[in-house]
Amino acid sequence: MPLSGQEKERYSRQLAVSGIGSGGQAKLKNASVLVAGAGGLGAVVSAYLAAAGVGRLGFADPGLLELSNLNRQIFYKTRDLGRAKTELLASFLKDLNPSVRLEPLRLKLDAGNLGPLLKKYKLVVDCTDNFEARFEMNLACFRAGGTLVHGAVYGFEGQLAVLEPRRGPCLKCAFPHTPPPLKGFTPVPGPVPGVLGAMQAVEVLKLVCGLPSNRDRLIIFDLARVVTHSVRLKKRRACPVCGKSGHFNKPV
Amino acid sequence: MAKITVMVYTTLRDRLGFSRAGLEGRTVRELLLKLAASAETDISGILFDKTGAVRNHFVLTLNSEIIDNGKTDKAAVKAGDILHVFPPISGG
Repeated sequence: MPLSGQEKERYSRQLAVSGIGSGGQAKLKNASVLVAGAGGLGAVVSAYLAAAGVGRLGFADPGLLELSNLNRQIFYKTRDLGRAKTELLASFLKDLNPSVRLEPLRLKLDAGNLGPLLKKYKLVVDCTDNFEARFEMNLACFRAGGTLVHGAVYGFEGQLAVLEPRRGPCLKCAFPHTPPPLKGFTPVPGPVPGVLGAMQAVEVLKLVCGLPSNRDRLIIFDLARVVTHSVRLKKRRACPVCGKSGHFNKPV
Repeated sequence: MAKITVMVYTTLRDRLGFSRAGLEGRTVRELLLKLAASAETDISGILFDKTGAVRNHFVLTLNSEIIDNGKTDKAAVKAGDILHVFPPISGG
């Protein structure tokens, strides 16, 4: 369907981008993207994807807004402490772009409940805040053949990767083992998840529009020194998720 | 002995108090031992396990290629190489 006059105006700045254009805009309108987490990363990703005109946007988070969220989760308001983040984010996104079909999911995603969701969402943006959830997303994407746009932060550092676990290396190939749990919370200055969330949204736009994406690489952002480090990831034969003898090697 | 650049991240960076060091050595293992000894307080326990192997949650890359944590003594380095030492992170 051709773009309406309103749509041409709303998206004029991105329609003019080489590689997006009206063809890319149509792909965005037909795309379904699921954002796991509605915190520092997830709210930023969701806001940019809604603004860009992604057709259907799911976002999942079981949490309520807490005071300590507000140094970085800038779409929320102090007066809304204690309210469900998915409800608050839905309200913000609806005001931003009423044409996006929103699916707020007030739940903790795991490989089990993500499975059925991946029938309609082939693209998952991982914005969760713990290793357990992240590896569940990875497993679900392997099982369902989905694409995982991984982003994470610690202090002034961030990590970004676009993974297609069925075809290429998965998160478990990149990180077979996790560090001992941190004492307390992850330190994070507000703008750092802003940068990484924006980068995740950029990767989603490129994936949807069919532009070359940053597949199979882990990019480390060191915002203290303002440098990046790019690592080529390889599929590991012994990977317990996607390897030949993987315990979970049962695509469903 | 080759002089190479070592870049460290997250808790390792926090404990060492720096993100980058120029160190001399012949192998990645030699460099990591020097790195651990360069801190004001000994950080060997963060970097190595009880058997002396590099803790398995760290990813090591030499010139952007991942190297095997169990074979750091076989990984020879040359002048100008860059070694990165980082764990996965999970904050969101």
